[in-house]
Parts: sequence; structure tokens; C-alpha cells
Amino acid sequence: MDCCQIRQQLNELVDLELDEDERQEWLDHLAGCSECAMIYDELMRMKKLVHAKARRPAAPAGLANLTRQRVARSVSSPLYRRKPVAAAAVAALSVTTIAVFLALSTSTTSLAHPHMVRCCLDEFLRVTAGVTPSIPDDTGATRSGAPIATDVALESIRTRTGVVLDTLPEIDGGTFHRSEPCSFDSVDGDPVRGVRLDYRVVDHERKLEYPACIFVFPLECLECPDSVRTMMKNGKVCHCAGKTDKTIYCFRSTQHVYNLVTTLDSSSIEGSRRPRLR
Amino acid sequence: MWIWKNRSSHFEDSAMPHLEAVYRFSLYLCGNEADAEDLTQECFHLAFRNFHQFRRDSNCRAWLFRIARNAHIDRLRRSSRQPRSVDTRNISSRLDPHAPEPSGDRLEDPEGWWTLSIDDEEVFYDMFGDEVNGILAELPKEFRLSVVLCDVEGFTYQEIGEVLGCPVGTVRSRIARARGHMRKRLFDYAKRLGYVRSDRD
Repeated sequence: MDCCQIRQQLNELVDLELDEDERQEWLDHLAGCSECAMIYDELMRMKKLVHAKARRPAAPAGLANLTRQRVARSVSSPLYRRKPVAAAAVAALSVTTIAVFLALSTSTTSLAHPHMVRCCLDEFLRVTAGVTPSIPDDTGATRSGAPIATDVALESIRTRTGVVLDTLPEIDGGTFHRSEPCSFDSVDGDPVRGVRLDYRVVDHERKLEYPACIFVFPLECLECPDSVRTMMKNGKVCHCAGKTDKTIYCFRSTQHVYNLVTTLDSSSIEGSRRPRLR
Repeated sequence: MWIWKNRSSHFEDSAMPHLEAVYRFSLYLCGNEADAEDLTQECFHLAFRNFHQFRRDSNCRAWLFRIARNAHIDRLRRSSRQPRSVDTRNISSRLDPHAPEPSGDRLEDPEGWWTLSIDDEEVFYDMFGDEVNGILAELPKEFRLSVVLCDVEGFTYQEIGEVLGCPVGTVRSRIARARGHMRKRLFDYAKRLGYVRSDRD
């Protein structure tokens, strides 16, 4: 190893970024090369100089308390308390923030695999709110049938969540054929109420048909993480990195509705089946 | 409610001790106290909401910095503002809250090697103590943040990359070039004072 090579990477030695073997090799070189050693010493000095002399403005007095208060406000968010009137008011003010969860089941024989629907919502709530949901265990019910009227579905959303929508979320093919109440327990045990809308996805291109459902909840109660919120705000379809067994898409489907689409890899769910060609 | 209490207690122990550091970092990002205070509060607010995502074995300060930076970028997007470009020659101190933003994102590679003939570390620190803040202020923002996170906050290159949203190689390069620039500027300063022994002379 020559001096030029060493000098190019002395910063890593200074910053303890080398593994022990490399570090020892380079220190051995420095022991026998006074010029490299001098440069190393000066880099080290400069690092110490910055550490010692870089200005560190103190936070204003009271910032810690203000911060604690702001954090505390999120704990005491109305939607986490047993105050239905307040919760409804907050929800009504937040027409633009509806989270719609689309859980795609991959079974073609039963209309929605209960476990998969459960997993989708469980996962969404886990990543967004860090809570364990409790959904009425009625997912095995038949979900085929005549389309439900849009105004009926909108009314059920309004009644359940207090949020007034002009239109239903867009779905890729088909119509909603069932609307039913659902809920999950917030962290302090109070149920957060929402609506589940069922439909069937018909993918003509891939010749697939499978059941799906959308969960509608007021967004505030779910505490969307940065990544999801950013995607919602951007209104783009994009991948949410860091998910191992699923892909989360998020897109703005109408002016006031956001969709969070979660597709599960069926191979990762015990007992589930992949979509079958028709 | 026990979950919240548990979370609050953990949060108080893990995150709140870093409030000063987050404020400093916010000040670097925002450039003025009012925005820095607001960003600090928002950062902790978001951190608390997402505290379940924090890995206990990771660096909490780096995690908070990452949240602060993301929130800062969010704000810039929201207000459709872009970082301003200002002539760096007019900058007296980066940490002057009213100092404008340095321009450019490139640093020229330092030429050659030189050494300072100052053996006494105390003298060295005294001589360059004030100068170093001015030199830091001259660095383009991402370079300055890399150096500050490394030297002041003691982050690893990996952590810096996560905070700044760039690969480790970029961090390595920024730090090397920033230090090269700083050494050159210190050289110029020391030369004026007659404390230089250089292979360029």
C-alpha cells in the first residue's frame, strides 16, 4: 500500500470507519512513514478542533416543555378518547383525510380469505398506528350479490365515521356489492369505527378475478407514518420501501379520497391460495 | 392507556435527552431560531407517533435527525420554497441565525499536502477556534452537515448516510472533500500568520 493510497483514505482511519485489520495495517504504515503520520495527526487535530470549537447554540429555555406539551397533545387526541361528539367533529373537519384500505384477497373460491383480509388490516394498522386491531370476525360471510347503491355506501360511511364524501373511492373494476360496519380498537381500548366495502376485482388482461374490500376510517385515528403520508400527499403510485412480503401502493383516487392499497404475497400467508386463471 | 404511558416513559428516557442536539441540527437546516424551534417540536411530535418504529438497538439521535430532516424537506415542499443560492463570500458565520444559505454543492479537491508547524494542540485550538466556524460556514450545506454530524455528533458514516438520505460512499467523499477544503483554508489562515511549513512553498 503506497502513501498516496493511504492519504486518500486517512479520513476513514480518523473517523474509525475501518475494521480492525485494516486499521492495524494502516497504523503500521504510519509508524514507518513520518509524512503520512503528520497528515494523519493534522486530520485528527482538525476533527478535534471541529468537535471542540464548532458552535453549539443552546435551545431556548422552555423549548423542552413546549415540545412535551405538543407530544402530550397527540396522546390526548380526541379520537383516542371516549368523546364521540369531539371525535365526530374532528372527523367532519377532515374530509380530505380519509384513509381507504384496500385489501386484496387472492382466493377465487371463497370471496375473501378471512385470514388475508385480517392480515392486510393488521399489517396496515401495525405500520401506521402500532396497534393490534380487532375486527368483527365476520369475514367468512358471502360477499357476492347485487351492487349496492352509491348513496347507501356514502351514507354508511357518513354514519359510521362522520365524514362526508362526494363520491366513493375508485376501484379497479367492478362495483361494491356489500357495505358493512367494521372497527378496530384504538390504543386506549375505544373502538374506532369504519366501513368495509366489498367488491370483486376483474383483471381482464391477466384473466383474473378475485374478491377485495376497502376499509374506510378517519385518517387521524391511524396516525399515518411519514412515508405513507408523504405518498398520500404526493398523490402518486409508488412503492413503500422496507416491506418484505408485500407491496404498499398509495394513490389519490379522487379529490378527497386516498387509497392505500396493500397486496399481500399469497405465498407468505399460510393457507391462502394464489389467484387462479379463469 | 398503559401502552401510551409505557411509550411516553420510554420516549422521555430515549428521545428527550436529544432535544438540544435536534434543535442544533434544526438550526443548521432552517437557518433561523423560530423555524428551528418549530421543526424541533414537529420532529418530536412525529417521533412520538412513530416511536414503535424506532429500533432500540439503533442510534436514537440519528433517528431523530432523520425525522427532522424529512420534516424539513416536507415543509420546503409544502411551501414550494427551494433552498436559496447566495454568494458564500458574504457569509460571516453559518450559525449566525440570520446568515444566508451558502451556495453550490461542489468543492474543489485540495491541492497537494501541507503541514502546520504548530505542535502545541492548545495553541492550535486557540488559533483556529474562531476561524473554524467561519470555514464551516463556507461549506455547501450537505458537506457541512456531513462534517458536523461526524465530528460534533459522532455519527458513523452509515448513520450520516441515513440521516442525510445518501449512500455511505457519498458521505465518505463529502467528508474527505470538506476536510480537504478546511485544511486548505486553515493553511491560508496559518500562512498569513506565519505558521506554515508546506511542500507547496
